Amino acid sequence: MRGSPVIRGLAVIAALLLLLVPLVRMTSSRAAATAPPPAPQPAEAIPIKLRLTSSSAPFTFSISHLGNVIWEGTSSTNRIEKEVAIPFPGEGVDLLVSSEWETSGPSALELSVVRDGRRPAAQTVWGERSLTEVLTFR
Amino acid sequence: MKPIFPAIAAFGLVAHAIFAAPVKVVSFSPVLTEIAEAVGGANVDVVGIVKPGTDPHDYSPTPGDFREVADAQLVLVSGNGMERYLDKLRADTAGSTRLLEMGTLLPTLEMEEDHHHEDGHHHEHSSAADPHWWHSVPNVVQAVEIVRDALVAIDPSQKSTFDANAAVKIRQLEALQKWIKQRVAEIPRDRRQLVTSHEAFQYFAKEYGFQVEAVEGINREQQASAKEVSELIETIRAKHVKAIFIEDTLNPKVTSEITRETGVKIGGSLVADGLGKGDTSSYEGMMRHNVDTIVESLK
Repeated sequence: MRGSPVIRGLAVIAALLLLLVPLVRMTSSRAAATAPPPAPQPAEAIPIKLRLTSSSAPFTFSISHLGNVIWEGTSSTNRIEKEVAIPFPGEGVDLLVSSEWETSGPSALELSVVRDGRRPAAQTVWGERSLTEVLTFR
Repeated sequence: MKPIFPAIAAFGLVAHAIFAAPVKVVSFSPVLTEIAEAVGGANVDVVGIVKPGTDPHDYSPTPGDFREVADAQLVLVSGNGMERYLDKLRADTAGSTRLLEMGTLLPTLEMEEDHHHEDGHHHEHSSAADPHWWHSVPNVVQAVEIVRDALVAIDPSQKSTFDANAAVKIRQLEALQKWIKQRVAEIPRDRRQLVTSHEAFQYFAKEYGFQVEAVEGINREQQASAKEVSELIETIRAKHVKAIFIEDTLNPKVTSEITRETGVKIGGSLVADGLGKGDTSSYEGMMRHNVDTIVESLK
């Protein structure tokens, strides 16, 4: 090779510096560059009709969805209904149902879920004086 | 004639001691140890070989363990491949000792296994029974009934005690099941994606409505391949998984790599194999810990 040793040395250093940039990129942690995953889009709330039918009245009840009470009260009649709006994904929803009766002995409680364009879905649970159950509707 | 009365009395005492001797149970599963102690009460002497906090996949019995088995009337194992030394146990218990392989007596879920060959290219798929049956509370209720029946078969004179003890344990488990369902109901059903280090939560997922993905196979030796890790990363992104979970007894290295690639958070540490330490050293404590950890991260 021709040329001054100093120039040749500087050329080698320049080449090494150029290599350094991709090397640092390849070996450094990617944690800082990785964005957290996008938040999942929550299912849209839709109107549904809830209908409670109890074998004995009066009864006190509470219905919760995802930890929030969406309907509660005391009914002096055996049947009561209300329209609420909750997200209803394809995987279904879990509703936490609690009820209390003054009468002794077993009592039945049916919860029906009515959505537009679909057949009503109903489930019945039993309890003595009180009950707390998670019911899944799809 | 007088000396005959003390002799009869002594014979009576010895006979009582022999007939009232507790049933000896040896257990290689901390969950089954807890069940045997609860159902047997004071009438059963339970030797728990695999302690809480020990990974049962890795446990190797000592000569002392086999000596305990030698004079046991009942030996309890998780079964379905959890104990690799099971053939040796089967040989040792071929006589009067009853060996109860719990997993084979319960509804079993199958899981895919990958077998990687040393050439680095060829690998085979096969299915195997998933041994982690205790992550479903109804399975544990059935296990209580099976242990109760086994103890009654060995010592029918204690049937009423075993029945009563089992009923108490089952009521506790039913209360636990109710609590789990209420806690899990706080997570929207479309967000129940359970990504864990190794494939131990199929029974939990089926019982409580989760989709399950695992980084590794059934045990530590089934290390995830680069392709499998890459596919899991895609799944985490596509399904908008909020958190992934590492397990107490597993190396979290690969899991950490996935969190770096996807930005997904680590939801916490789950007890996958047997029981843990401290608050998770009991079955109920372990289940409550796992459920609380999952719910708080995914809801």
